[in-house]
Amino acid sequence: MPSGASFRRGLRDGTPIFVAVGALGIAFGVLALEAGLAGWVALLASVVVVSGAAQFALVGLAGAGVVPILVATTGLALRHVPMSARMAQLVGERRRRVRLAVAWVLVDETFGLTLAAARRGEGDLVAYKAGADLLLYSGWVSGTATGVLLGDRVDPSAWGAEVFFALLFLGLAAPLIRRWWDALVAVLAVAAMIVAADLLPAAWQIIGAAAVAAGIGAVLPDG
Amino acid sequence: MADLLLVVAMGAITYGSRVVFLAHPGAPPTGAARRFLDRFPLALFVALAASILVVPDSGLDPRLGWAAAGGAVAGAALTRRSLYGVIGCGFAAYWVVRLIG
Repeated sequence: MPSGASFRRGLRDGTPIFVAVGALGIAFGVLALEAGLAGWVALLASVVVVSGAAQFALVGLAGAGVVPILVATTGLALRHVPMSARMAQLVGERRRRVRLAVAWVLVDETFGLTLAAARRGEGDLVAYKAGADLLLYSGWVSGTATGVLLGDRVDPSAWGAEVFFALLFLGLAAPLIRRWWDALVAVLAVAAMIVAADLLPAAWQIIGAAAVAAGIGAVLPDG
Repeated sequence: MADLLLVVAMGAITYGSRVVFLAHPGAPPTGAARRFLDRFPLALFVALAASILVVPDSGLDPRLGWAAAGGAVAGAALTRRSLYGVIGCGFAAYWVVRLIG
């Protein structure tokens, strides 16, 4: 099956992702400015980091300092490790520079699309993923740019931006609750956060609560 | 300059985690380490949300925070844990309570 056809199928399947990720990118741009980040920092983060989770954590922890932000980034990034292993299997024996390029936009959305494409026997998975990644990346960066441009014209408190921001995190968390034990980890994270707010310095409350909940989660079973 | 370095460091960490097995194929983490990696994002997202919605000193009216959280949970149940369902229902509940006063 020709690579061009696989690439076009990746573009087709990635179109809904462009819209959804573009909308999130706008939210990221607006909220980054609200958190005190410069517009160019928000845009550069979308170009270089390409991780909604890490970038929204950057916004959430903007006042906490560099170390908590990097700890959060590392914790969030580590979930890519199993994805990287699976993608290496799917890509197979390709040139090293191709494999390095595939890793650039190894994100949940297009990883999921690529897995589905592999199951239905897509001819060239690298080309397919490149098509989907192109739309995701352009949607994320252009959405962020739009949010940064809109940022000054929007009064975040008037429309409840702070609550929207919190709900965005709950929205990101929700698909990760696949088993009862995951729900328990979520409840533990809420309890740990309430306790941490009383016991820990502000910079370490969120990371501390997350580490405790995930640490307990690590000894819970899978099923 | 500090912001530039921070973003570059975030990018390096993130790309490093994505490329590790594509550059050097091997066995992925297993056991408790894998479960910690699996569950850390969930715990972090919920802690970030809780720091705004349910921590008493967050500055948000507690009724609004709990309304938004309750709406989000209902949205998750109604929409099979869809990102947009959670945000939409949570935001709707927040605005209903905010408008009622």
